[in-house]
Amino acid sequence: MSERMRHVPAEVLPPAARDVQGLRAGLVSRLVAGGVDYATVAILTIGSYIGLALLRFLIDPRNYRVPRWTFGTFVAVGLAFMVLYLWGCWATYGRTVGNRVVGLRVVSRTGRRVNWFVALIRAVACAVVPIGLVWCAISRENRSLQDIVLRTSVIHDWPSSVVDLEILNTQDRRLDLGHAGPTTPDA
Amino acid sequence: MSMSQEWVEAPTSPTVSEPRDLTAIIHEPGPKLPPGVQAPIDVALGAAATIATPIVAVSKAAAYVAAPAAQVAWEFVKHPPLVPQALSLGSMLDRLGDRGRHVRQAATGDLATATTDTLDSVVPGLVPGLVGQVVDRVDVTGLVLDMVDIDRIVTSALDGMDLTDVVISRVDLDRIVTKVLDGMDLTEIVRTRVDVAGLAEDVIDDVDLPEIIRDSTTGVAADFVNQGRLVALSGDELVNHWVDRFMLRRNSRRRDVPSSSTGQESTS
Repeated sequence: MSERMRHVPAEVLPPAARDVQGLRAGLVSRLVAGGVDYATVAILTIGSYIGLALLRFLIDPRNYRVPRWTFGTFVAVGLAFMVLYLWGCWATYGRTVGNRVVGLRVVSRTGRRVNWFVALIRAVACAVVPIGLVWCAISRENRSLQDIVLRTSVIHDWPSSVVDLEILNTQDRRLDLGHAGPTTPDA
Repeated sequence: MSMSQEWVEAPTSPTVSEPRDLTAIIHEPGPKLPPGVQAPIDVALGAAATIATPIVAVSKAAAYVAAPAAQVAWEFVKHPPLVPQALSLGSMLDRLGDRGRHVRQAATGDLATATTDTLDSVVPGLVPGLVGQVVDRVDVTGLVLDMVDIDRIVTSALDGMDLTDVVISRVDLDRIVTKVLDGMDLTEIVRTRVDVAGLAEDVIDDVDLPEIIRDSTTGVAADFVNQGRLVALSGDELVNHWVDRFMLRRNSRRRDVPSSSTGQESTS
């Protein structure tokens, strides 16, 4: 799926966004993406709590009591979810949900997807030291502290969402409708 | 075209070849003489015909016998021997004939002119009344229907003309259509005669409505997402600008990543 995203032609993008594709993103974009990711992890954490409560009720409804999580428990569970979430997303697709929304991608020093080990270290670093993200505003290369240590980058890669692909597919279908003669399949 | 060929190939049709009794079509045959006058006239005509028949027969026989001898004698009188040709009776008769012919031709020409003038002055007053009398006495419609092959005439005329072109060039179609439409309640006609509900169902069945809604929805969502991304992008530029200005940097940032545009996936 990510391969298809990378081959989306630039005509889909707005003209103002075409020049920044492949360049490192700045602080605001990454903060927005991080906010979406935090919201995602918060939903996962709260959902886990609710799921756990329901599970308890189903298992022993007569002695049911609402599970009592302290703030520290919520933070710990949230951190664990954050690490797992970031690790899995970066190692598999190179982007999280927040990255998808904003149109970002985490790449290695060579511009490729980061491997599992680097993704894990980066996920832990981002979850534990989120303030390191602010350094990308000071860095001349738009790199956070995690990026500098692990030699990774967060780049603009807009044709990333399912919405874009839907649009592209729709345009392809419309183009096909316009062909009068025989069409040759793309190589 | 085929009809005209059929008419041409069947000229022996009874409607064409058989003679018609015109007296059956004419209403009044005309005035008759009284019987008291008509009978003597018929008797006189019968007697004259009885007397004249043998006389005519004898005359014809005598003429048949005497004609060759009379012709020879007449030639001898016209051109007698030992008389100059110019002084012969035949030559004189020829000259007289020529002169008489010239006189007759001149007189005939004058007479023809006079006749034409007379007709020009008389016919306009005479013909309408005469034609009116004839038309009153004759069933013209019946005569035409019986005597004229109307189908053949109409077929030939239609084969020789482009009716569509004639209608387009000679008929004010806009006016006709406007007048017709003005006199019609199209809405009522559609309501009473058209299955609007069925038609709408067919149209809805043919149109992929969910696909259209999906396309428009995805388009709106994509525009929304892209607008958000552009806002974040301009925020990036703004932050970079102010930080660089605060840090007294003159060179722009190095934001490119080696091979980042290739997008090759790692096999790690």
